[in-house]
Amino acid sequence: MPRRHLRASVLLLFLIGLPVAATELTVSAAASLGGAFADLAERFEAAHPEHEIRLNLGGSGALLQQIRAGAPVDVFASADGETMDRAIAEGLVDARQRHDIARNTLVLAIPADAAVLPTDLATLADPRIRRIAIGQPDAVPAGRYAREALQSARLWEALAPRLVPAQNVRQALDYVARGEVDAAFVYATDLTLQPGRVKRAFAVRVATPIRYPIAPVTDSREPGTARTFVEFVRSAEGQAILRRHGFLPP
Amino acid sequence: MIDSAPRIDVVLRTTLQAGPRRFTLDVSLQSARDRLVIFGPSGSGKTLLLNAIAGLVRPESGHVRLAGRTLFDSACGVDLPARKRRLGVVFQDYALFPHLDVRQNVGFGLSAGLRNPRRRDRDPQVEGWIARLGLAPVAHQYPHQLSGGQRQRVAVARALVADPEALLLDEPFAALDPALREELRIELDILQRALGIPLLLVSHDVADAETLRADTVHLAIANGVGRSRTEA
Amino acid sequence: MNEFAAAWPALALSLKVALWASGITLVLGTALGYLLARGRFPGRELLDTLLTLPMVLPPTVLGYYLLVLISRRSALGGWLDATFDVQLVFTWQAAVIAATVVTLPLVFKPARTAFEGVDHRVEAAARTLGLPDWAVFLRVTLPLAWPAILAGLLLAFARAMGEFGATLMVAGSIPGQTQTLSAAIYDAVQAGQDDRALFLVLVMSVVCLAVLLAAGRLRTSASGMTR
Repeated sequence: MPRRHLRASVLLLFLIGLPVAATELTVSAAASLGGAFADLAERFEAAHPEHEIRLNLGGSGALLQQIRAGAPVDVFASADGETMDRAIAEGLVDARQRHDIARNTLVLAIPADAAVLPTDLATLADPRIRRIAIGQPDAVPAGRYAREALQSARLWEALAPRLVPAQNVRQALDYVARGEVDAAFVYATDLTLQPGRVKRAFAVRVATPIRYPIAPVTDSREPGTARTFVEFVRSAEGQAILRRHGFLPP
Repeated sequence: MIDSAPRIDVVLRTTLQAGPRRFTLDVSLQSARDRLVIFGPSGSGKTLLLNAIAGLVRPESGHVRLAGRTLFDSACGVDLPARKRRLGVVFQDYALFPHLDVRQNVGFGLSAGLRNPRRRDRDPQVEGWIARLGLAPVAHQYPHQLSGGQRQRVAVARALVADPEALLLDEPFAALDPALREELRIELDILQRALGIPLLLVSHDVADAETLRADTVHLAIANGVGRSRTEA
Repeated sequence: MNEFAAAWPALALSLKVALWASGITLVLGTALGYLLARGRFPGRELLDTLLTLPMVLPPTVLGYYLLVLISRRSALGGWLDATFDVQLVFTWQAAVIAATVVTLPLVFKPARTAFEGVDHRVEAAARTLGLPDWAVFLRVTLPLAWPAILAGLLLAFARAMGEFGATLMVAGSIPGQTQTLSAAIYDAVQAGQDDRALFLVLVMSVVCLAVLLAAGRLRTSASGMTR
């Protein structure tokens, strides 16, 4: 092989080898933030090629459980304040570094070809609505919001037998998109994920505004990078990305 | 004129194919007497012959008549299934039921229904045969606990308890030592005389034919065909 | 004691699903084992392979196939919905289906081997003794194959008790209706209820231990007969 080709190959190998030396940041985000955070991660990596983002999505409760068990997470973004409060109480994140990054609305979604169109919570009592998907209220914030709304409307007991708990809000969405349930409590931002198969029936009024807090994890091995990422999400560019995915400003 | 219809009349022709190997059985055996011993080297089709007579294998052509009963006749379309032939069969290696004890094995054929005889059942016919063949001391034992001679006797008792009209035995003494063999031959001789039913025995030991004073047939194999030659 | 009362619905459901699945698997598995051992038909080995697939497929993949098969929008699910007003997804019956599919190989494979291993001459002897074919099967073939089938059945029961991944996809985890003990443990962990999770894990362990012990006793007495 001619010498200049050899040199070029070695250089190429060196460059390919570079990302191995980059720092890796693990971000645990609530499922409903999935799409937005994928874009945020991509933009962040483009601006900071020395960093690589590993995105870990799931129900907020499950994510907290992982951090509690010592999983190497650097940044935590949950779908509700309560889960973050618990994280703070357990010393897993620093209260001073917590910031709200977005707001969301809870809606009732129905299959696109649904025969029954409920208009508010009370109309869910219609016997033709046989199954309603809801995130596990004890582990999924969207489920807890839905439960609170149903309890204050005094409909929780009546509807409880028809509720199908889902592991996270995406699964609830999948159930209703598939037509296995007649309605599902999901976020407004989730509706765009299954455009032709679900539609919004009505917005659900919740007592506590649905705010998404983010914070670096105390035991992170990359505290500097974690803070940089949080700053990025709070920046104008990060907020624009969140807006594009349907989130409201915090 | 005395009716000279043979007591044993078997004519069979059948071909088996196993992959590239082909075997044709072509036999004709008759005996006016009640006892016939079939000799032949291994591979000459002795077991196949016995299975065909028992109704376990269906030959292509021929007929099987024992003691005046036609069990198979390809010309007339008669083919009794094995369970209807009322033959007592003693297999090589005895084929005892390993999950049943001696008493249950012997009594097996008395009922064609859903259930096996129970260990505590005592049927007079079964008990009779057990006593007759000296099996009383081991009646509650399982086949794997018995000696070769005991197993052979269980197989014979089992075959005879349902009152068969003929007895077929496939090398019944092969696995036993010479002294035991002679003892069992004599027992068989006495049994057959008492029962008066035709006896067909497949063997490669000439002593069998001698002690039993039976007619003999030889099977010879050549070019994949097992043929019979009769020597009265 | 109150905790046990709270755990009872999940335990009862696990037992119900496991018993139903084991029952169906026993009959279906034995029949299939016999068919595959004695049948001579084209595609026999392909059938064996297809039926064994659930044993190697990841639970979520299996769950997805089942979901597609019985969901309301599928051919089968839609027909059930239209004709009988039956929706299988999110019912305990769907959990039984998932458990059955997963445990079938545990029974039909040893059954096939056992049936293949039954000495044909012993069956021939039974026929010469006057028995029709079905009686030969019930009195000779099946009893000789039984110890192996029983061992497989006990494994199947234990597996059905613990079945989780595929079940979660087709039956969900509805407390009181489809939340089996395994699912209850998973949900408790997700909700951060470690005390409850630990208690449920202990209950499950005790039950499995009891099943294993009973299994050991049954097997000794069954195989004792064939010796």
